[in-house]
Amino acid sequence: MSDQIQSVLKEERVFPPPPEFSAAAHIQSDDRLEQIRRDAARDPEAFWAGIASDLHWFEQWDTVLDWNPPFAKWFVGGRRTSATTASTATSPPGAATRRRSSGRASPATAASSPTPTC
Amino acid sequence: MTRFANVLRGLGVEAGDRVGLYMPMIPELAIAMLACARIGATHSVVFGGFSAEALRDRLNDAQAKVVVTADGGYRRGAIVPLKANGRRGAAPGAVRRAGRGREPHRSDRCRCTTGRDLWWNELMDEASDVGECAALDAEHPLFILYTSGTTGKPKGVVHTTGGYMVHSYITSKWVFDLRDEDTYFCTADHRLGDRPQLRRSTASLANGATTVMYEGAPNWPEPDRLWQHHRQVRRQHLLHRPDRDPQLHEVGRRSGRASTGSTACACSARSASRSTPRRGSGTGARSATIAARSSIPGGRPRPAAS
Repeated sequence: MSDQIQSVLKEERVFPPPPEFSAAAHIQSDDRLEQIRRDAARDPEAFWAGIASDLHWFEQWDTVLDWNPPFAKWFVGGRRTSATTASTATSPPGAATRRRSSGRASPATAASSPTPTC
Repeated sequence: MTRFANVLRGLGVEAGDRVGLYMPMIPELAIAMLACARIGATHSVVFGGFSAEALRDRLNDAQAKVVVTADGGYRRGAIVPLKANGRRGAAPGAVRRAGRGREPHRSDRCRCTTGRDLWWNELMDEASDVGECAALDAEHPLFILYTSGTTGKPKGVVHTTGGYMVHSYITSKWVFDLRDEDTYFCTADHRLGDRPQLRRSTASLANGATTVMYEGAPNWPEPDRLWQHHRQVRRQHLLHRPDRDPQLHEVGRRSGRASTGSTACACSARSASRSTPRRGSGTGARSATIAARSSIPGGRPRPAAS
């Protein structure tokens, strides 16, 4: 009987991603990740400034990092909000609408069931 | 979201004020969080499963001006009377609440105090849907997350507007390979306050992705409930806690559904590997702090440090 009980806590196998997935990924390989790590370690402020540039800012920062241990201030002088998305904040009017209609699932409401299922 | 931002403004909430959120896993929670961010109010989400005392400690510590709550929420088929807990949790008159009505329970589950308690739907009906988005200093406090308090008094951890968004945006993008057309579903409860859950309403949206909220436990009434969601919402990124629910992996493997991501411990990836390209990766996230180490979906799987 005991050999029919399967443990799901212990897992030794490794499942590499399919090549076609890796090829289309934001970071395609561990080598690429290591390169990003090296670049970030060499110049952390340039690394984070580059990423912050993806997002919308009302005002650009003056200083990426004001590091006065143990106090750190990031993007000093920059002004932004967390309530707008990158897409709606940085795209021209209508771009967000186009994205929304790109065929993905819209937010599903499963709560209409008469009996509580949650 | 803009409408509720105007509701908060109408209640006297200004940039820098704190707003307590004691809510079920309903869209109004995300709306309230984003509305706070829009006007520069600092939100603090208190887990709906916490006691009145735990709620009171956190609200008092944060000096919350307004608490947003609900008459109740569903959890494993039972109704959690949030409003009743909230009433005991806060000193009468110190806090105003905007509750969300669920008509069937409105009369017997939720007693309101005139002049203090206000209904969400009534406030929203009167509010304008036009309003300015506050341009906030990058170091402006975005939210306060309380530690569990298992080692003493809960400690508030403040996350800032600029740094939090930049970090959560990029880690969500890389660790989950998150894209514009994707759907992100974090099964962990928003209100427990681990960072991955908060990504749901910030980082996933910053990446242009759709986000899923689910009220209740992901493995109730049956363990395969999670995979039913998967069928309903395609192209999902799934973030969950395999340490807590290892059986979900096995159920998922059998049903051949896709998933990716786990938090707080190494992910076995077994549930995703065979059926779809999306596979597991650990975020190595710690509660209330930041993602520490992770593998990336395009590279070699590796256990995450936690």
